[in-house]
Amino acid sequence: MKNLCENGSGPTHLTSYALGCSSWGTSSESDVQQSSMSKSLSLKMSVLPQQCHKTKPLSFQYQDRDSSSTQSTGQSYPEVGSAQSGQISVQCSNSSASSTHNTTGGKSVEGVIGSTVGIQDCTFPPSQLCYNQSLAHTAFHFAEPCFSGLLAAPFVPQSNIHHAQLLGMTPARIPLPLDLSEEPMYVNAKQYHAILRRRQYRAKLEAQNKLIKERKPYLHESRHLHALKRARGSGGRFLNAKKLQELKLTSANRGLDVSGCTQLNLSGNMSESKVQAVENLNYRNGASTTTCSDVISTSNSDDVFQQHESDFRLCGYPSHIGRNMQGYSADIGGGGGGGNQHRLSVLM
Amino acid sequence: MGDNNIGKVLEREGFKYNFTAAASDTSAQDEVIKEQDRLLPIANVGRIMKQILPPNAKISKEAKETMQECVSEFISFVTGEASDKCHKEKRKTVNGDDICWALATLGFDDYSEPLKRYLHKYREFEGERANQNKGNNNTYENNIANI
Repeated sequence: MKNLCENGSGPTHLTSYALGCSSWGTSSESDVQQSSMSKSLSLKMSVLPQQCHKTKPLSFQYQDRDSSSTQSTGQSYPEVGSAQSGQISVQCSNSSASSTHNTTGGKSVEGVIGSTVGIQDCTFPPSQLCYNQSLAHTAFHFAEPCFSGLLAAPFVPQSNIHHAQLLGMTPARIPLPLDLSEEPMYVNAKQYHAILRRRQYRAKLEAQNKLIKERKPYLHESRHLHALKRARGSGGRFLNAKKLQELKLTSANRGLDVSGCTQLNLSGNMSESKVQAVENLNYRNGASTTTCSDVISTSNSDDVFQQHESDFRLCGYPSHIGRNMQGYSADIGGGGGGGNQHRLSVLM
Repeated sequence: MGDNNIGKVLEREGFKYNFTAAASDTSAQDEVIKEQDRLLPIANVGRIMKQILPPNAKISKEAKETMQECVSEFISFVTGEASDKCHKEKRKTVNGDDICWALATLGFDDYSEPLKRYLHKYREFEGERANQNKGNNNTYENNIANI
């Protein structure tokens, strides 16, 4: 009922739905009621006349959102609903059981109703849960704890999840056959054949064992080693040529010995030449001096943590002069440590 | 067949990378489809995601990888439909009109209309540039802004 107060066109919908089901319109929308209705929906495949009455309040609630979106875009109901349902079905993969879990969890369900003609199922999964499902499909090594944490025991049989499937509101829904699954998944009729084609293609790739199982942290060994050798500033970002010169001036002012300065110059020249060579072929592992890349790959994450630790030590140091020296030495040590760790991991 | 279509889409969008894989690590299995051939570059995906977010927002690596999988699958999904149409019509080249048709056929009408307008203005711009034999970034940006 809150949506009615918020939306300007609420009274109209209230009047139209009061004629259909006055008893359900006056009832309060509690989580228990929604969860019971969702569970009954998930258990039964076909929609019964008795079940039609139960789904009225949910569709009534979603109708308000649909009308608001229609006003903003200036389009008719069926077009907007059909298009948006199609969009969601490509990105998300989910089942009615997950929808039940979503309702019991008390999260807000967002969706668009295709048309008001006929009584249809109206449970939409959240995008976050869908992405977790797609994570499970892509077989990430860290997807297991997320999956087990989010879903409860009754959803274990639903582990067989495919891409580009969604239980959603569309004018015509076709049950999609699923292997090792009792419940059919309803998809947009326009996308039925395309989904089957994509499934066959992916099955063919899996049969030929061509799909990549794991993601590699980097693509080229030489570039990875080069990135490990580059100087890093606070926060783990790469230092450009100007900052390197500033560091040299600082070290010279601090009265370091001549041999140290010579080594710094040599390392600086080497890094500059390599950076110029690699600048045109920038990739995830490295970054050129002109652009400060925000993407830090997995192989560099340990260095980032060590840099953060050095930041803590910097904050703890009492004087400004000592802080500079501490940071400088910590950077060198952190870089070396990171390099050793990654080399060991590569060798294994 | 689908793999070729993926390559065509990438070529049309201007993703031209020269990948020279090192012999030691990446050639363990010759028949495995490489990550760079199946997925869009993750840095570009992150950059596109960042355009819609406030300046101080951060995107986790997991989010980028998830979006990378989603957009790559969507490209294969739409291109497969367009390729199927070209196959029926005995044509070998998938062009922009086929992509717009595939989007409309799959129910993405809201995307199909803006893309048709974009494609029309893009062709006008390319025609003008071919005639004048010079490029103007401001004109191109204005064309994009008008869409």
